[in-house]
Amino acid sequence: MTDIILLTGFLGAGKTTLLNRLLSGNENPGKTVGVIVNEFSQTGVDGQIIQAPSGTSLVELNNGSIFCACIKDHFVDALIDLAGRSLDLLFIEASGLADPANFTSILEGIKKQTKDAYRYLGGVCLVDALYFPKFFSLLPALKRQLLYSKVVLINKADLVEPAQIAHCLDLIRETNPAAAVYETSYCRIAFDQLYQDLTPSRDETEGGEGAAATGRPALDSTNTPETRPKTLTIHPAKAIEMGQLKALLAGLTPHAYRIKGFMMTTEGPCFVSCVGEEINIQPVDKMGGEASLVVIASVGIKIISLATAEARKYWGDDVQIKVD
Amino acid sequence: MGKELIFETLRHQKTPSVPWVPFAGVHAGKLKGYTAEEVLTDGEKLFESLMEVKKLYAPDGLPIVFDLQLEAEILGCELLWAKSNPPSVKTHPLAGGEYKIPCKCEIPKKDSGRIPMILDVTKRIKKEIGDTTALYGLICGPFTLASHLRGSDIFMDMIMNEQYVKDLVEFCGEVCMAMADYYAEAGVDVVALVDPLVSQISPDHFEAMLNPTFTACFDYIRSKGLFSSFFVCGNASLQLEVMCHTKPDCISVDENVSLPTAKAITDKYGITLAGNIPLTTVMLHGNQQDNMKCVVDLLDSIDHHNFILSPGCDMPYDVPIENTVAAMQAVKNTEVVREMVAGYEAVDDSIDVELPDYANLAKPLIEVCTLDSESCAACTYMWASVKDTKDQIFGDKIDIVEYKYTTKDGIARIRKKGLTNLPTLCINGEVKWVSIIPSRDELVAEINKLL
Repeated sequence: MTDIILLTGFLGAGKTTLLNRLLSGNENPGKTVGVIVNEFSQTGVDGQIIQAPSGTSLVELNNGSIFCACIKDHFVDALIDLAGRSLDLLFIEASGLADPANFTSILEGIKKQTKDAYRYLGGVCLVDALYFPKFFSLLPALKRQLLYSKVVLINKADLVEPAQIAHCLDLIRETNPAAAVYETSYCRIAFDQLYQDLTPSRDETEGGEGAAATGRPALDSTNTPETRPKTLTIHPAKAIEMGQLKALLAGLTPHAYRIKGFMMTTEGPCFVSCVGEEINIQPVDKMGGEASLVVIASVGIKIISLATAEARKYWGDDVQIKVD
Repeated sequence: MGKELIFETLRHQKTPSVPWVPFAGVHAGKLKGYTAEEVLTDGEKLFESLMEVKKLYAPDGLPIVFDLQLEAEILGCELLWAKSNPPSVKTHPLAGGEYKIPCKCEIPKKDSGRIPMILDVTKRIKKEIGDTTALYGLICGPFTLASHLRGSDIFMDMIMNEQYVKDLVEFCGEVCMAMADYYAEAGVDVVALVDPLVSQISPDHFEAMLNPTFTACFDYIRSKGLFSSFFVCGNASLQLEVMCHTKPDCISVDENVSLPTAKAITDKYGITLAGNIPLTTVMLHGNQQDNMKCVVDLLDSIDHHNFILSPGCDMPYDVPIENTVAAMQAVKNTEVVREMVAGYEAVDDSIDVELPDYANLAKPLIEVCTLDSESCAACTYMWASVKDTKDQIFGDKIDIVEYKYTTKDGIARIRKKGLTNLPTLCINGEVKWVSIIPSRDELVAEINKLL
């Protein structure tokens, strides 16, 4: 039997950090583990920064939400494939705008092909203490992520005032009063605690798989090709000065939910991670792949011109923009 | 090689000669004896017709179809088909009081409407002549598509609800991007947004409501490794500057625009210009010498760098084949042809017509002078706004009439009235709107002054 844990949370909330924590050997001694990482963009970044111990089965599913018709078939294939690998645990890191309301019905639909190999423990939703109240009312997918979770982590709690935590908590309680809620920084939570909260009680087990996971019946996901945000990738052909990189990001963040990727600067390689208008640039020893920046837009098709104009300011013609 | 000539021109490089792109849309069908409807609905006939265009007109660039109603049809507009014109839009699914934006799930897919037929023909043409000829994928531009969906109400919306117009045009921009994807996959080299209605609104309105979507579309087309072009019809002299701000690789204009004036503007922005053999007076009603002389004169009027010679817009179905051949000869062998037409004076074969006695009209008379409301979208909407105003508000209290530049009678009337730009709207003989479609309120106010 493979236990599935679904990790959801808005773009930049800390899902990959949590996943890396959960994957580190001392959290799951002796367990065989699989991971499915899902990203909206065509260019996957998280797959490059996941620190999976050797022997982990890692599947990257990019270019859409796994709960959306655009790549659901690939998700189903991956689940069927991983069902045959006798894993103890399967972590699924959903994309930031994922609506997982249909997940249990997906599992139900492939029960035969997977020979009933899966037990869905439930969802863990990461809430970004900095930005959650701002985006919660705007994006229906965030409400669904909360609704379909058993555990909610209010992450980055160290970065906000207590009143903001209380505001987040109110929104969480209004939406899903049954969820276990923890405040965390850098996703620090003991795996045992999480596992205990997720393990179904006897009552839940008797209620069938959907009920066991969240106590809610499955619904159609609101992730459809039509609701997908515009996403593009900037591929520069040469390094950029650090000051220019900061200026580029400052020009783009007002129009993007999320920007992330690896960049080569004249000071060396670095990892870029922006959520809302918060810009984070961290030097790294080596690039995790080709230099590229994924931009998930909050402004529709205008992002194409905005990103093109900003990128050309610094790279001239030595840059390619690929729209997903 | 023709294709390379187009590529060099669109890369703004110096070229050994001026490239030639005849916009043989429905006219391609005439070459094989097919009607406009046949050539726009039957892949086999379209393919044959395009191969004939290649054979007879030796184009450097070739549009696959010129049909601004293709996307609108898929999005729910009913079309009125004609034998010798592209179809026109008969109904507007978003017309009416409510401000609706279609769901993105309605964006045409590769298998919607006539798209599969057109993509199949594109692939076949690519295989046959794609090595030597640049293929053009023409898409209805986002503003004209928005007008097809919303009808003439959109001109009122531009005053009453700017945000709605922006949102609707952005939706239509997403349609353009989807179409660009399909054309790119099928092998076209140039994607053109054809948006005749752009000439009918003020530059300020263009900047405020249309610029972001057009710019995004052209950036998108370039991000796919293709060249982009912005086609406009009508007197776009005032709009050229703001069109340049959207950064297409090329802008294509018709005879309403002075080529040297346009070239001065496009040169300033490093954009290629295409144009502008007059469609009716020269191509349709002229003879071979008229066409030769016109092309030589056009070429002599401007610097050849960054320039493509083409008809002003979609060629009328009945353009005599020899006229297009003459135009082609003039661009390919300019010096020889210059000798041939030296001293040639065009014969004035216009007929005599009598204009109404404007001082003694029984009721207000609205005259709409058009290229042809059945084939020119800007004309369609100017005529529609007048017709709707009569039908819905004034009824028998006013008279309305359309003069078409595709008929000899129409040409004579329009000339006698001294008009140089189409479409133009006159009330009781007085010119009221030139290349601008009035909103319903503006038109009603003018008519009420006379009642």
